[in-house]
Amino acid sequence: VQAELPPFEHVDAATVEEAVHWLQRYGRRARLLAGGTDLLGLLKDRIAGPALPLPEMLVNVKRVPELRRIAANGDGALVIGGAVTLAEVEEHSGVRAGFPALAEAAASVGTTQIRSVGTVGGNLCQRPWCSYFRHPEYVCFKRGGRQCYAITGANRYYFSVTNLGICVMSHPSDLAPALIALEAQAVVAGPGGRRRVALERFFQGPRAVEETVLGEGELLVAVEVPAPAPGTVSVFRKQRVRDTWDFALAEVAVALRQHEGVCEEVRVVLGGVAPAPARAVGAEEVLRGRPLDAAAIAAAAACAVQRPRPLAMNGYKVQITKALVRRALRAAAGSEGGRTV
Amino acid sequence: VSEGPREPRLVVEGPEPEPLDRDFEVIGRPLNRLDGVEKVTGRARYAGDLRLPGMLFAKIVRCPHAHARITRIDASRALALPGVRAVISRDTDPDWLTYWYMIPQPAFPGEVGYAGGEVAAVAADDPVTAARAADLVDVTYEVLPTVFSVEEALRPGAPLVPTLNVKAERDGNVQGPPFSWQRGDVAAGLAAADVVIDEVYRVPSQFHVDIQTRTCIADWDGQRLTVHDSAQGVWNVKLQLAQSLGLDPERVRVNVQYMGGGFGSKAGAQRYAHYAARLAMVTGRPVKLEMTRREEFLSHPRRYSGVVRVRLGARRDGTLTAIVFAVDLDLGAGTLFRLVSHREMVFTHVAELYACPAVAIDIRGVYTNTPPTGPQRGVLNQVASYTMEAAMDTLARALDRDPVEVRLRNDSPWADPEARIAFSSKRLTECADAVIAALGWERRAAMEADNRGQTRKRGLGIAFYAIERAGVPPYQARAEVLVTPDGKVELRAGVVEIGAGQVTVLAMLAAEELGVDPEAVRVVWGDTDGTLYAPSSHASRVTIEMGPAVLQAAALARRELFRYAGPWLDAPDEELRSGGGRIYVKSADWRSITFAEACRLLPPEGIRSVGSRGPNPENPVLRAFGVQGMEVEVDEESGEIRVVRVVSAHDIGRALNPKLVESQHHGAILMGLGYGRWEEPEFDPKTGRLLNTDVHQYRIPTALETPAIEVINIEGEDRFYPYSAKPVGEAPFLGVAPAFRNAVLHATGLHINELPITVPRLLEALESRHRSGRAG
Repeated sequence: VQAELPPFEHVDAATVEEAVHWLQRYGRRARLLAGGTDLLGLLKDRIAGPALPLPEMLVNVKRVPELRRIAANGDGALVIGGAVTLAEVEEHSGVRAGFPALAEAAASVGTTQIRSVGTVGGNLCQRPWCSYFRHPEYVCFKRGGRQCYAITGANRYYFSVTNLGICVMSHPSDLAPALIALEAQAVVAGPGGRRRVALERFFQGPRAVEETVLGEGELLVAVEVPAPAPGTVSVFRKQRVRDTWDFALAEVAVALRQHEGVCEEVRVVLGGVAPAPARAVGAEEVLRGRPLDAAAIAAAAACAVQRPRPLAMNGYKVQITKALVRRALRAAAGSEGGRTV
Repeated sequence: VSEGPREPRLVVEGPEPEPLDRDFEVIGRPLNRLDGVEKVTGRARYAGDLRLPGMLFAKIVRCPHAHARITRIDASRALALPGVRAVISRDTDPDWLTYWYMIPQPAFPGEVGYAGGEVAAVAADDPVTAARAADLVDVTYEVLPTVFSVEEALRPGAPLVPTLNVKAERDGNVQGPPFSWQRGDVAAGLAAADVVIDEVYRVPSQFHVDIQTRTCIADWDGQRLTVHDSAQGVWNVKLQLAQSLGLDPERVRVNVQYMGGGFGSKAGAQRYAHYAARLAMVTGRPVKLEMTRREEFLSHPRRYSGVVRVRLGARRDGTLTAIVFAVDLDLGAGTLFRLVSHREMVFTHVAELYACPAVAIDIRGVYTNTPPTGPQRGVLNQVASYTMEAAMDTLARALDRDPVEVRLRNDSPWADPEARIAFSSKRLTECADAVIAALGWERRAAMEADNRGQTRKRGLGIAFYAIERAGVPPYQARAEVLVTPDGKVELRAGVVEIGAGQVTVLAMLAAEELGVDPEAVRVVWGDTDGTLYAPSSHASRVTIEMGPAVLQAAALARRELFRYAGPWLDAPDEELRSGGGRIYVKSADWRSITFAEACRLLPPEGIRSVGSRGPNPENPVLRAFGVQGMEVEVDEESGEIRVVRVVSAHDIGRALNPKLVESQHHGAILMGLGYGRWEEPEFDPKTGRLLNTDVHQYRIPTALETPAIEVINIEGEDRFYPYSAKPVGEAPFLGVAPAFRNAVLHATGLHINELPITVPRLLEALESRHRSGRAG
C-alpha cells in the first residue's frame, strides 16, 4: 500500500526520562510509539480532531530496557514493563504458573502477528474501537467534538451496556480485567517523577475524553502484579464475534481464594461492556463468605451486570456477560479447568 | 418441443480433436501449481510492484454524502500545490463515460448517489502530495434526501437514486423491467399441497476483500496506451478502456501480472483504471493509482442484499407441487448487471434443480443510496440457493421427513420437463450419497436425543446446489499453440491467472495433448499483446471455455507434428501416438522418436495452431451440481457456534488437477462460512456511510477459523466439457451458508432466516423463543 501515513518526526528514547522529556517538550503534538498496532492505524486513517491532533513527533520506547523486562520478585510478585509484548506475557513461565488469567488474557488478543509486536502498555492505553471514533468523517466526543454518534447510530458490538455517559464506548483492553482482578498497580512516570496508581483507578469513565489518568508528558512504565495469596485461583473468559482476531463482546476475569470451602477473597472484573473495565461488585458481594456452589454461582451471575442499560442494538451482551461470569466461576470452582496456584 | 438433446461432443468450432488413444499422463495428477514457487518466494510480480520512470501517483476525491448534487468544484488550491500535475473532474471532462462492464457510466456524475462516489482525481509527483492535493480540491455539494433500504426506496414520492448506468431503464427506483416468469399453475399447485410453507429471508451483502488492493499503472506514449492493471481479464479491459477513451482498440495494450484475488470484483475495466488512463493521457507520464483498504470497501461493487419470500407446496410424501420465489434486491446506487439478463442464476436452482410442475419467479431490483453492487462468486445463485435450501429444510420439518429424502424425492432428470430439455449430466444423487456417508447422517436422531436438556447441542445440516456457468456470451475463447524446431512449446492464452491455477490447468491440457511434461509448456498469459481474444477469469469460465480451445489447438499441433514424424518413423501419421516426451508407432511402440527430435524435422517457422470454443448447445443444458453438509456445535448459553466439520461433494465430471480443485473448495467454503457467520456491512443509519471499512470490523474468516474440510470429487463422463471437467470456481460457495443455517436449525430448532448467524443474532433468536415460550 502506498504511503498512507501523514508526515511526522521520530525519535528513539533510550531511557524513561528521555521519553518523558520528548513527550513534555512536544505536549499534545507527541505520541508514544511502541508496537504501533493501534497508533499506525489511527494515523493511516488520519483519525484526528481538536482533542486528537495528528502527531508531529513519535517517541519510540521499544529500546528502553526498563520497559522491556518482566521481573519476578523473590516473593512471587511480577513487574511487567510497558513495552513488553503480549506474546512475551503469554509465554512467560512465571505468568503462566502464577497468573493464569493474565496469560489467557494476553493470548486472547488479536492475532499472532499483533501479539508479537503489541505491548502491555499499548493494550491498556489503546483508543476506543468504536467505528465512529475510527471513521475519518466523524469528529466525535473522543476526538474533541461535541457528541457521541454511536448512541443513536450503529451500536451493536464494541459498546457499553452499563452506562449512558457522553461516550458509549466499551473498553477494549483484554489485559485490564485480568490485571485488576489480580490487584495490579500501574507505575507512571512523568515530569513530576514517578507515581503508583491502582490499575482499577487507572481508567476514567465515559465523561472524560481520555480513557486513562495519564497526564501530559506521562507514560506507563510498568504494571506491578502482587504475589497472589496461596490458594488463589484466577480465570479469564472472553466472547467475541469471530472466533479469533476480535475484541470482546464481553469478557470476565475472576481471582478468588476459598478457605474451608468458603469463598474468602473474590474479585470479578468485566471488560468489553463498560467505558472502563469494571468490578462486578454485586457479584463479589454475593460470593464473599459463601461456598462456591451452583446456587452461589447462579446468584452471582444474575447480578453480574448491575442496572444494565443497553443500547438499541446490544442488549444481548448482558446475557453473554452473565454466561461468562457463570463459566468463569465454575472454572474457578474447579469444574472447568481453572488452575490453582 | 425440440428435436431432443444433441449428441455429446466437445464444444469447439470445427471438428472435434482426435482422441489421444492412450491413458492420461498429466490430467488427474495433483500437480503443484506452476506459479507456486514464484509466489512463496516473493518473486511473483503484481501490478503494484512495477515502477516506471517518471511515474506519477494518483488519488481519487470522493463524495462524503450518500446523495448530493455537485454545485462547484474548485481545484485551484490543489493545482497550486508544488508537485501536482493534473486534476480531472466534471469541469475538465464533463461528458466522459467509463465503460465498466461495458455499461456506459458518467465518469464524474453531477449527482452522486452514495457516500464514497468519485468526484475528481489528482496526479502528483508522490503519493503524499497526491493525498494532500485530493484534500485541497474544494467541492461544494447540495445535499439531497436519501433512501437506504428497499422499503424506503419503494415508498411513493421517495427520492430518486441516481444510478451509474446512463441508459438504465427504470421506474422510480426500480430497475426496469422487473423479471416475472411462471411455469404451470402455482395457485393450483399451492391448493393441491398438503403442506405449504411461507418464509421470508433476508440475505446480506458481502464484500470481496481481495488480499491485493487494486492497483493500476497507465502509460501513454502519445500513440499507444499500456495499462498494467489488477483485473480479471485483459481483453475485456482493453475493449472497455478503448471505448471510454475513444481509442482504436489496437492502440490499447492491457497487461495483468499476478493477482491477489478478485472474486468478481475485478471483472472488467474498473472505474479507477479509467481515471489512471485519463490522467496518464493528460500528463503524458505514467500514472499509478492504488486503492487503500478503505477505498476497496467504498467503491467496489459488492454482492446484493435482498429480501426473498419463498412459498413451497408439497404433498405428504414430500413431492413438490409449487415453488413461488419472489425477491427484492437492493442494488445500491447502481449495478453492473441487468437482472433480467442474469436470471439463469436464479432459474437453475429454483426451476431446474427440483422437479416441480408449477414454478413462479419474480425478481425486482431496487436502487438505494448505498455503494454499488456487481459480480461476486455466485452472485444471484446464492440468493436462490440460500433461500431455497433453507426453505427445503423448513418444509422437511413441517412434513416430519428427512431433509435429504425430501430433496431426493424431487430430483429431476430434466432441466425443462415440458420442452424435454436435458442436462448434459447430473450426478446429484451420487453427491448426496457421498456427503451423507461422510457426515454420518444416520446420527441425526441420536444427536437430537443427546441434545435434550443440554446447553451445548450438536446438529447436522445439508444443502444442494445447481449452477449454470460458462459458454454464455461472449463465449468466444481462442488459444494458440506454437511448436518450434528447437523443441519448445508455447501456449498463448489471453487469460489472467487470478489465483485459482488457471495457467497450470491450461498448461496441463496442452501438455497432455502433446505428450510432454507440463513444465515444458511455456504459457504466455495476462497480456493482450501476443494473445488472441480470451474470456475474463470470472463466471467459472476459464477451464470450461479456454479448455476446449487449448485442447483443440494442441491436438492440431500434435497432428501437424505427426506429419513430420511419420516419414521418419516410416509409419502413416494416423498410426502415431505421443506420450512421455516421445512419439510412437501405435502398433510397435519400440519404434519412437523423442518430441525434441521430431521438432527438429519441422520447417524453420515451426507449427502454429489455433483452437476456438463453440457456443453451448441449447439442448442439453450444461450444469454442475453439488451437495455440501456440515456438523456444528451450538452453545445456547454463550451463543458460540463451532463448525466441527464440512463435507463438500461436487459433480466435477473430472478433476483435471485434484489439488487445485480441492483448493477451490477450501476457498469457497471459507467464503461461504464468512457469509453465513460473520460478514456484514455496517452502515450509519443517518448518513448511509459505510462504517466497517477494514478487515478487523468487516469480519472475514482467517486461517484459524478454518474447520476440517473433506472434499469429494464425483466423476463421470460429460463430453461437452474438456476431458469432462465441469466448472468448480464458484459452485462450492453456494451450499455453505444454507448447510450452516440448517445445521443450526437441527441443533437448536431455530429457523433463523437472516444471515449472518452471528453470536448476537443467535442469542436474540434464543431470547425471542424464550419470551414467546415456543419450541422450534
